[in-house]
Amino acid sequence: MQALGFILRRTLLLAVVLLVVSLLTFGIVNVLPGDVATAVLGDMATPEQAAALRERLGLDEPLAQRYLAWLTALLQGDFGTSLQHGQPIAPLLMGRLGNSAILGLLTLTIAAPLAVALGIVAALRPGGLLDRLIGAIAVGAYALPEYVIGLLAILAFSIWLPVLPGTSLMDPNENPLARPEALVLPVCVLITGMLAFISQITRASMIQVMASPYVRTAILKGVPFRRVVLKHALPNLLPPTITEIGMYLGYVIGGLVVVETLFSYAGLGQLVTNAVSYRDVPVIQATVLLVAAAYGIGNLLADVVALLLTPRLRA
Amino acid sequence: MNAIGQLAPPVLDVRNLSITYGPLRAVRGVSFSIAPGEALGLIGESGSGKSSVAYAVMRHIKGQATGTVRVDGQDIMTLSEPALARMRGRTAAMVYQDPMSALNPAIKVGEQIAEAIRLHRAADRSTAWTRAVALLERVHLPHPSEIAHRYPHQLSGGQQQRVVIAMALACQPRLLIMDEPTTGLDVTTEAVILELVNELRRETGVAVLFISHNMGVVAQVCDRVGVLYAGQLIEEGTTQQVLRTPRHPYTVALMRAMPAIGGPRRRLAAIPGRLPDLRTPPVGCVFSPRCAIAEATCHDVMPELDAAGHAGSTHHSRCHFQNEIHQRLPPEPLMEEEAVTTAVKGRPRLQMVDLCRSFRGRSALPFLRGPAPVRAVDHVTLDIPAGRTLAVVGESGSGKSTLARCVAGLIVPEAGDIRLEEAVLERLVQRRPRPAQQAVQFVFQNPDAALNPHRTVAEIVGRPMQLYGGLAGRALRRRVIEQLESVKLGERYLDLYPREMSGGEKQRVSIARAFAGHPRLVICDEPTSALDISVQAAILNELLALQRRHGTSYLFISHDLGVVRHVAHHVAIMRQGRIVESGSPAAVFGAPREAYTRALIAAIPTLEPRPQPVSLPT
Amino acid sequence: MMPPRMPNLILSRRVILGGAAALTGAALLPGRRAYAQSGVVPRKGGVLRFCRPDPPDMLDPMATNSFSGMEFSQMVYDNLVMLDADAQPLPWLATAWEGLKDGQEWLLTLREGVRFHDGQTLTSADVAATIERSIDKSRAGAGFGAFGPVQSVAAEGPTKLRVTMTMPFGEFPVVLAYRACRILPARGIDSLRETPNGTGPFRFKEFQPGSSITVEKFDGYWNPDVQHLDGVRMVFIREAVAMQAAMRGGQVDLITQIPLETYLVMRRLPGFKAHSAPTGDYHTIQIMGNKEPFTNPKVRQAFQYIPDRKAIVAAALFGQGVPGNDVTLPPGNVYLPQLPVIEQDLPRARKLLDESGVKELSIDAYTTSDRQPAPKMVLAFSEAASKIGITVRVRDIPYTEYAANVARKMPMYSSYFSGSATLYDGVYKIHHSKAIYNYGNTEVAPGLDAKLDAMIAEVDLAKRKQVAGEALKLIQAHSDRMVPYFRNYVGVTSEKVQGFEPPKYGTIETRGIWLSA
Repeated sequence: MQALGFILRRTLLLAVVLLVVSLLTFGIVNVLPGDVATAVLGDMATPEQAAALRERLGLDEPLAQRYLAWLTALLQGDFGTSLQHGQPIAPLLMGRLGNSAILGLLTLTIAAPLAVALGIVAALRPGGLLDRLIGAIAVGAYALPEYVIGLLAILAFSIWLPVLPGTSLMDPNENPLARPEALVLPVCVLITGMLAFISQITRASMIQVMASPYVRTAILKGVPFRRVVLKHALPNLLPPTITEIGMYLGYVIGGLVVVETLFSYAGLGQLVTNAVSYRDVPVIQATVLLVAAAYGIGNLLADVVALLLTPRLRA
Repeated sequence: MNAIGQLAPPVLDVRNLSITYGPLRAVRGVSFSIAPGEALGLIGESGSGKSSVAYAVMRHIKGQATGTVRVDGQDIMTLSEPALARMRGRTAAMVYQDPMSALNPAIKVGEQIAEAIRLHRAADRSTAWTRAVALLERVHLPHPSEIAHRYPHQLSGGQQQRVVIAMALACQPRLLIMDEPTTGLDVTTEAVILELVNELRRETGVAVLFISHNMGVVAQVCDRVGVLYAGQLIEEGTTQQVLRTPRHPYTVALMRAMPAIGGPRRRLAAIPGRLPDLRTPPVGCVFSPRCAIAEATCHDVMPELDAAGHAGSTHHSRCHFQNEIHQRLPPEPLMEEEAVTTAVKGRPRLQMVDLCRSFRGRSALPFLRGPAPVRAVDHVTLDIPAGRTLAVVGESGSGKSTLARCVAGLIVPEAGDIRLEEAVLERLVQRRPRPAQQAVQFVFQNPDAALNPHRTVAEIVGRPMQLYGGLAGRALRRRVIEQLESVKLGERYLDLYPREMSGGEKQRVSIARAFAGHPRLVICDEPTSALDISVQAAILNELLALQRRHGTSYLFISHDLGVVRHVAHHVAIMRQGRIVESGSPAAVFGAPREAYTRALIAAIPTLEPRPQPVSLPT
Repeated sequence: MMPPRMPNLILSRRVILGGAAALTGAALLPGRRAYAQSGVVPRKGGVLRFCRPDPPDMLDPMATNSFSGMEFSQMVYDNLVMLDADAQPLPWLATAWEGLKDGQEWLLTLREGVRFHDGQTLTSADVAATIERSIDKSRAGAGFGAFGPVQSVAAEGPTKLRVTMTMPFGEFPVVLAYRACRILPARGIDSLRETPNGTGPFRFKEFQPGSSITVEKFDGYWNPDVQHLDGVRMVFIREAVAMQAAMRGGQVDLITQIPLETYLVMRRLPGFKAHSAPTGDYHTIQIMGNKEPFTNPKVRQAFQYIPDRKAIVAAALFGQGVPGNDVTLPPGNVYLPQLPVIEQDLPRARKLLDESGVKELSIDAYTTSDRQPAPKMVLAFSEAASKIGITVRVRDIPYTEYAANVARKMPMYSSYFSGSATLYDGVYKIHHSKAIYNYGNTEVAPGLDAKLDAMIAEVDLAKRKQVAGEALKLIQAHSDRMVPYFRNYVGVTSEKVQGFEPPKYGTIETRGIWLSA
């Protein structure tokens, strides 16, 4: 009952956040930097050409008016038309949303349990060999941006030791799961970044949990160590960790943009990179909004799961 | 030792136990034993090593332990890990301070009990659960089969501790180790828990090692008492022997530092100095640096734990002068009772008129609905005459701290006025004019949170003087030193940071700061409840002295009736946001009108074992 | 240095070319004669997997502003003419052309039996609509003015049309080969962005923005002799390392627009064909004649002697290019006169500066890392300049900012131009004070505008060469831009790819490419 109200209120909040996001994206894309027409046309464009494009895009109308028109259409399910191709945006997004979701979810389902497991292992003997090893790798992986990790992965596994395709060359209407070998590197790159972050967060919480009085109670009750970890520590470790993973979704999405572009994987990230480089403003706005919604929903789900796993909050 | 102890082998036999944490020698050469069915109390202040001893019995300490610890005949120092796990919870079980954190928040309480049964008794799930419910009933929890399905946060503090006790009893252990089991509980709850412990002892014959800093609590439960100081057992004997006729100056000092609820009011005796550095303990008597009767031998020769009075006595003390203690330490003088009627004239210094404040509980996640609002302060009207102390007493959640914060302007009351002499105070402290801010000062329970860790004592105490007195330079420094001396701290504290001081010293600094701007009212919110008894006595004495000197009024918030009786001119008993009874201490404590007040007083653990259980009016 | 086989008159050329139209298309394709002569019969079939870094900005062949889009339009559309090795026109959709009234009017004759992918037959109406669109500012997009200074166009029967120029324009037939001059269908000419429709060897199948473009063989193509592939799949990989991995992993057959580093690595690997060939593409360092301190011609001259062009070719291009001579035509171009070779001469630069009266000189040079290796070029210039006491601060900024605030607005910056077959695009549009790529809109040497006008008006090739030579000498001496180098085209194909020619003018020609088994 309490959870239901929570979900309802958070959903309302999400709607407000998305409205703000829409306002911000619209504002930023249309105001900064330079002018859309010159950016679309490039440096070879004459002022006349730029003026013609501005007129075609309706850029001379007041910003507020354009925003309202865009928002109204959006609420009716019309994401607008791509500047670049003149095609409606909504169908463009759908196949790619699926592909990105596959990449993202695959990453989450592999990385989240693995990261938590690594964090726990590291925390059981803080300062031990395993802890230091995991810690060192995590720091390294965290310090390197996904882009660099991705490049290294391509160099290592597609050029020096050519065992995996260095690029997925995926089309939006293709099912990525039909070509698992093309998913390996992108997913691994995304996992690396996530493992680093989540395992260290988990480690910190686990050390705290293991030092807690209720774990002491369990030990002094004669509970064997393995059972202490699994039955007494884990249920208290999971909710905050799941919330952290929810927060981390933003990084995953950021990583998706990088990885999809790097591996030519037809997802939203690739679409948005393309749209940004050609200043396809309606596509940028639609994608950013979609991504914000995905992040918001993911975050909400994580919080709901954390809520359901925490008796104290469930009530 | 009693007769049974002589016949049956002891349940717990500790021989020459020493514990070190790196260079710190926390426990040195402690020996004691507990016979079946016997309860031994270990009394000590912080740093005495009492908890280390308790956990060493379960072999659960971070430090290095030497000596032998036999539990039911088994030397637990040499047990393998699996054997240790079999011993823990079955032969010896533990009850902890702060039951809320000792229980796993994610597991139903019934399961937490049943788990121990399944592990040690190889019982199946339903048998274990049935037994867990029976245990909950055994500790007098209402609706045990329903409570078993609850999570710890759904129970009150007293209920949680009963669950912990039930869990400890799950496998019918021979030894129960109780580590400050009632500290942090309200006094009425404490009384019921102690009653429960006594009942269980009678009926199950379990032996108890009872760790506490509170002599009254120990007196309610234990047959014998040991007193620990700086890692050494300095006195041991039957409860009557140790608490009635102590044979060690430290024990004597502790007794005299304890504000009592009954009997004549005496000046509280503080113990000067502080705990010796346990990295390099003194070669002679460990208490000698603070001892009022120490002589040269005391500093050079460590006394043995010898039988006091006559050879073969069960009363042992580690003092060279154990048989002359009472001649050498005459009792403290009585305090004269002030005539309440003569002192109060004219307008009260502080008036609280019809104050109200309620709270919405904070939700645990953003946008998660919080609990229903609670009326923390419910139409409270009180006043404090000039130079007098009003003590507001109540259990946790009674609203006494909220009231103090309203007066301080830290919390905005929803209704009502606060008048300081002629002026009505703004509700928020930031809105109050500077003289009004200066006039009302605050001493908090936890000096660590109240003192800026990045400022020296000189800066902390000097700041209000700069702000309100316009002092600077040499004059400022002189005033700061004066101020520090008035709370028995010297010039050498000027450049120290809070982390370099003990809890008592830090609280003195907060008091010095509070008095730096010549306040007319000081709000003391549980100023001594985080301190050891010996330090508490000193702080209370300073507060009384400062009040006499400056004519300051105190709003004194406390849960400790003994302390209140010692400092207050006027007492108000608060319960669920309302004042249920108020009057002079003599009237309130001597002839309480309200049932709640009577229950509160009856619940205070005294050195006399209580004849009958305490019942709390609902 | 005119090749003897070059006819002097367009009129006589038309006769020769009219006959040539009967020859097979493969033989007509410049540079593919070797295959025709070697007797190897191209294998039919297979899909070419064509990989480049960036997807097209749009599919409209006239409005597109990207090479990617032009490489696409090259497959789906045809031009009226093709160019030979000397950049002179060969018949394609047009079989003949005739300059009238001293080049003020041109009469074009179209090939018969050519079909668009939607089944319509190519007529003069389509060509007229294409040319009309190119002179309509609101519809032409980047292709505005691509056909030259056209005044009007009129169809004269289904296969003939007359184009009237605003001024005498001798290079009109060469301009027709330009990549923005694809012939579009009159019907649906403004919706080609959504529904591409041309006469080219491949018909549009699918475009996934940012991912891929697929085209398939058009069975009704008029010249099946150059149409070997079943289709082309264009894919886009932004990162060079990933591109290389795709090539090595056999996921693509051809990678183009690759960094020099990739070429240098792949060159050494067996199983691949690495291509490096001269082009007309060049970088400039603009020294704007309308902005201080470059309004002073002596300062511009002095700057010309500062860069060490050979060293820049070696360092910035790893040798894959040739030094420039501050004219916008590459060495070997048919119109180049004998010009003095400009080389680094710091004492002379200093002396010219002293003569100019400019004592202390400190200036910002803008460049962008998004246009490699321009920053290296500017940096090399800056280092050389510092040796004679000139401070050139290199400002490397993002391309968007560069496009918005630097081009046409700052006195000194790097710029990039792709090579062009015509004097009109390659020289006139860049140097005539009223032309769109003369960013300063200044006539850098007195009488230059008149010379340039005369140059493009000239219908006769030999005379045009002579006027062009004079104009280029003037330009070199007074230039408001330095041309330190011309870049080579570099690309890599798999061994299976046959008939690939490194492109001279930017876009790869897929006609004639085939895949061996």
